[in-house]
Amino acid sequence: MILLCSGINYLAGLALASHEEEKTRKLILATSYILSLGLLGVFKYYNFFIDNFINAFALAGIYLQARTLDIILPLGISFYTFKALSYTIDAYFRKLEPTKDIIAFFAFVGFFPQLLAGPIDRATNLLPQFYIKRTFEYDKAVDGMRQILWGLFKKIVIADNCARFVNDIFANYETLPASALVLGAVFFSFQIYGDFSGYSDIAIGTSRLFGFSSMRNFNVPYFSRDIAEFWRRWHISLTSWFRDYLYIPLGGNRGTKYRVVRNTFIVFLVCGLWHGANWTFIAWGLINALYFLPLLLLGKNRKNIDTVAQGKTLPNIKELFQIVTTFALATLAWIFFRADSIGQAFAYIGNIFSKSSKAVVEYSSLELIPLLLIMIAVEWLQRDKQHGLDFNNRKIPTFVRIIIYYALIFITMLFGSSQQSFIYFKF
Amino acid sequence: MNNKNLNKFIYKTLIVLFPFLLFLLLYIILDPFMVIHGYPFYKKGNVVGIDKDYVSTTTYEKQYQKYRYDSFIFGNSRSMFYEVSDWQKYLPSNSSCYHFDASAESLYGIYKKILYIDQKGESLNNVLIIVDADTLSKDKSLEGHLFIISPQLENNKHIVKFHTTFFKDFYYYKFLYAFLDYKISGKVKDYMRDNHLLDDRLFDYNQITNEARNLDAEEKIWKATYYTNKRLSGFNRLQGDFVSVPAIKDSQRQMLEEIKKIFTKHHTNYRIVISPPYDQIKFNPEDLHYLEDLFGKDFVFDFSGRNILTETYQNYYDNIHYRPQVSRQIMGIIYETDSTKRANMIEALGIK
Repeated sequence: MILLCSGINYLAGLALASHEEEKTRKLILATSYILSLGLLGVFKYYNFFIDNFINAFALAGIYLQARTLDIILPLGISFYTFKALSYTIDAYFRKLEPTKDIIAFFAFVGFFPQLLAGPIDRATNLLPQFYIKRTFEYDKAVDGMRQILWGLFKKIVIADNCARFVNDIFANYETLPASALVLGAVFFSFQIYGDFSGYSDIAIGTSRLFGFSSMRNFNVPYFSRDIAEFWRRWHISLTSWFRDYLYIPLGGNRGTKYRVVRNTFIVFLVCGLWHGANWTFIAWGLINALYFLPLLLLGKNRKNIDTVAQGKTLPNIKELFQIVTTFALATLAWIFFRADSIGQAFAYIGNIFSKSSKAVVEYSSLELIPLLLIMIAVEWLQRDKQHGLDFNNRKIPTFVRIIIYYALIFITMLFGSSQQSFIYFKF
Repeated sequence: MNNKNLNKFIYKTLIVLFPFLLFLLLYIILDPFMVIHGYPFYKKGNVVGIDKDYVSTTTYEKQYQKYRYDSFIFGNSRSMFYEVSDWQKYLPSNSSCYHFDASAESLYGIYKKILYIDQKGESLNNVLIIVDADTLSKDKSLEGHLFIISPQLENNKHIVKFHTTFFKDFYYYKFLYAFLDYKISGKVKDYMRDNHLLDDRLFDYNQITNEARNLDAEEKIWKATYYTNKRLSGFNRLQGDFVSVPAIKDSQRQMLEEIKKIFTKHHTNYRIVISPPYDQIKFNPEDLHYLEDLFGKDFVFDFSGRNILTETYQNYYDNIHYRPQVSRQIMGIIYETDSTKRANMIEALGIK
């Protein structure tokens, strides 16, 4: 699949390099689009659309017979398809010179650290790095190792530990008290952040070990003061992809209000669908579009573009309120992302507001709180840096750094597993 | 210059990774879950919870040529109480029995074990499968060091995952602390038992049949000290009639059909028992019909739901596990050749 996708876009690049006529270039771009997205569509969305098509007709009393495909979704297909497509689109818009170097191009698309979970790096940034001979860069490698360590902490300690409570709470949401459901939603927010940004840190850090500079993928999104800022800081490689290759070509925020609203909805819905073939992801996209639109229409979507509380140790009350509110809105939307169905998401939210509150200590989840606080504190202190352990331009004594490394390694080792594996009546 | 920098980087990385490497070494030497070194006997003096799937498979692998097993009991920990000495009464006298169980066994695990025996060219003359809705619903290998499927059953395809599972769980801080405490003090303390970290209960283990009998619990029951208030508080059931959600889907159907094919090939004398859980939740009728259609109505027996077996807590060790006295009764019914008599016995238990 990856070879096919790379091959399509490599040939499209070569074709674009040898054709100047606009009509032909458009045809090449359209072919590349259809073939690349067609592969993605078949493997990722075919069954979803067929099922919904059948269900839609069934509502009208027409029962269709159609076969769904018994196929396995190729790993990372959404990531490398978008990566390869960005190359063709940039070549079409003459933002880059199409490459003839087949090895460099295939290595760019299949660059192993980014293959499974991004970042969806751009050809303009990554491809030229394959042309040059790299030499070992000590500072880059050390920084890469630090970023990997921070990523491991977020993935193994935060995400994996949150996951076991989240799985338990979402599986039993019908019987649990409201406080547990709130906790489940909050933990899921940290789980998905720890998981995704942790993977990104590991990928970027690994790239740096090999001398490659990848684009940043997460920039402390949970310290955002509004949803527009959140989306500038969350999964940056994807959101900027949609901005550059979908939102702006659709007209962006130029034109009538109707067009702006339409473009915003399209981008968020497609963004939701990109995450998976399920209505829950589409609902998640829709909710975020509804969050985002008022800011856009009121011209406040670029109000918070700097780092929060810059130069200060703590945020002020207003900033804190904005951060908490944004986090709460994001968390509410994440419930749809995590739920198995839209019905379950609504039932989950409904239970939060209808169930009586009880202590949540019974879930022994309190042991997670100090770990979450460590992550939040480190990310807050490092919010103007590239990652949690970016010590560049910081005067930190060697022994303190070593203590930090060892502490993180120990925490990652000791909290990398869970009691869940042990809780079993031994017969 | 570049090489010097690279050497410096490697040297520093090794220093930072030193604690990790130290623990790795400790893990390899101590092998708490008994999956690295070979062991002649798995249960003796062992207080760490080990993967029963791995124990069952490895023990079988070591012994099958010697004992030429041809009769097998498959299932989760509930199957432990179907004792071979009881079962053998219903089998030809020359049968060689093996209890091929796993903790929290899945249908996937049962399927893989049957396939494994078949692929070894060994006989499957008699088979007793103990299942419930939970077992049937699981169509993949489980996670966690107590449950993960033995690599031999998957042609060593997931051997790396298998070992990383144990290695990862070794680092669980509560376990590591308890384990090191036990290694230093030589004692299993209350906090270790209470948190399910270590366990020194008395089990009688028969290496040849791979049977573990819970002597500790039986002894306490006879002394009338077993059913304490604390223990009884764990016996839960909801008021009303409940049916388990359908467990058999496409992937399960495929596995069950494969199992049936192997049984047909081996002319296996098989019985499938749906366990009687204390919660009295009735096994899903659709699933039951499917099993009866596939394996035959005379070979599938459902003891779930409200009946005499599930009524009294004295038939159980806990909410999940029933005692050998129940298993004996069940075996008496399922191996009764007179169908009228069998139907009467089932009816007498109040099973509809």
